[in-house]
Amino acid sequence: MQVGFSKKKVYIDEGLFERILQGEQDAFRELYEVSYRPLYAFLLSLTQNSEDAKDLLQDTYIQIRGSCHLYKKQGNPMAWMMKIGKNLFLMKCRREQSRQYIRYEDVEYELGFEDLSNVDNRLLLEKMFSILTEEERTIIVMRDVTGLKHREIAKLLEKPVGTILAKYNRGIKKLQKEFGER
Amino acid sequence: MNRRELKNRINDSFLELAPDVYDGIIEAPIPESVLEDELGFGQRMRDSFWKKSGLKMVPIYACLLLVCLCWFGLEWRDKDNVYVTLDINPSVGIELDGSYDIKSVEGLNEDGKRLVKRLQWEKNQTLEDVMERITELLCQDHVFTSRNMILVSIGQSDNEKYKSLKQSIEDGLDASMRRNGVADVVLAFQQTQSGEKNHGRDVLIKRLMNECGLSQDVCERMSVEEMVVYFNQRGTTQLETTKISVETSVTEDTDETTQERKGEICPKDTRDDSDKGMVSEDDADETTTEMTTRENTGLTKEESDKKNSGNNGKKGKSTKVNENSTKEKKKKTPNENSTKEKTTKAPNENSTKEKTTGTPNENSTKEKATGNAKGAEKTTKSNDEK
Repeated sequence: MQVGFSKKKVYIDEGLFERILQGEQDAFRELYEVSYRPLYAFLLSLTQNSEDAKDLLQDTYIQIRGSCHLYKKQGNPMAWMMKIGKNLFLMKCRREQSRQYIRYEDVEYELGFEDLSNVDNRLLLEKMFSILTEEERTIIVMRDVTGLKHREIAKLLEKPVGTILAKYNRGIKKLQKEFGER
Repeated sequence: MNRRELKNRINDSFLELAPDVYDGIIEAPIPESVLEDELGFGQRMRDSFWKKSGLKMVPIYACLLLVCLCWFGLEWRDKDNVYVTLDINPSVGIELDGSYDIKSVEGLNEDGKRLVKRLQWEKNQTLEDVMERITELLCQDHVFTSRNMILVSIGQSDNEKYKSLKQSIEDGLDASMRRNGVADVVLAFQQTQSGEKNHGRDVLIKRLMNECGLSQDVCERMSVEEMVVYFNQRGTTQLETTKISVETSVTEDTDETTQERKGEICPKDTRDDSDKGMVSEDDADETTTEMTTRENTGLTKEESDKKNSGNNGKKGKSTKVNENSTKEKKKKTPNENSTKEKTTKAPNENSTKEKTTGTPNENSTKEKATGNAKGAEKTTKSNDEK
């Protein structure tokens, strides 16, 4: 299924959380529809496994449903939601104490890229997971998919802004070099 | 592909992948009131991270602790050990455990290393055994023909233990010297810091530099005897000196045969007369003056020679010992100092000494003292002439 997505930054109305707190299911649905794709992309870059990312995605929204009262207006709810997802991922890692490293030949299978209809997109994702480091890939996803600013990414990942900028540019250059040669 | 196209492609690619899990979210029960910490927004995440890191560090901490314990254990053990050095040239270092049994023996200079190679020492031997063996080897090498002072440095800060060990060493060396037929050896004792392997000669050099103002270069060219005498005359403190293996039974050794026999250990006594020549206090004073002059003018040899000639024939008795026997049986080689006024306690002993402590280079030329055949160290020149 081809889905066209806005190339604009993901915008989430902060008022949705108050409505969700009051029990409005439509507000929660609206929040979900706007945010689940970029959130999934972020979780996939962390887990490198489509099934794990799917589980985490579900767990994240369950947590969001129960913790809307904790949200403090900060300008971009996406960062708050991604932080919940990241923490759940870390807790899961500690519980399992294992993190399988995906071999290149298994990339398509583990990450679910075989479901992609567009071959070029599939190739791009495969390259992202094979030639980029985890940090570079995560930063690119957070910047280009979820629409976070470098400053927000730095805060979320607890790294200096300069590091985020450097890694982002390095990752993009790698991909440009890879696809520029083709 | 430019950046914008690439970014758009990435965005589209990922978003296409996302599965719809809304139904699963709605079916799940709404969690009870969640605390901020449960979401991991507090310190909890960091704490657990550090705890995890801490657990990983436990083996490393354990290893470090083990290393520290071993090191401190060695430290404590080492503090009971005593390091004794004997400087004659050769120089030998002996490490003793708390029971004063041998832990190790090492040569501290080239001659010392050669000596230790022949020593065939074993761990846990007694100090007396090793000193006996060292004395034997020194006699075989005719060391005491040209030198008769041993600088004994004992690494023991505790005064009681120092005195006790000093007495043991004195008695041990006395006995071994007697057994090997060496007489009238002077021991100069020096107390050094316990728990450290200090080379006695180096310690004395530092003291000479600090208390007497000599340069390191000059000190290093001095013999043990020169250093001890100079230090005892000029330093703020004095090294305790003791003469051991004193031959009281032999009063006169004028017999050449006897002297020759002794010469096996101590070479031919060059003295013509009885052996009682000793430097009188006047001589000692002159010697001191000579030393001073030497240091100052550098014309030592000639002046000292003149003075020595003036001193010829003078004899003195040692206030300490009534013997004489062969006073310095040693024949002075050109490079040796004839100075034997070692013991500061008995300045009357010994013959000529011009100890040019200040200018060790001149020693080779000094053969002054000949006038005092008796106790004098016969200068090799005089010997040669004879």
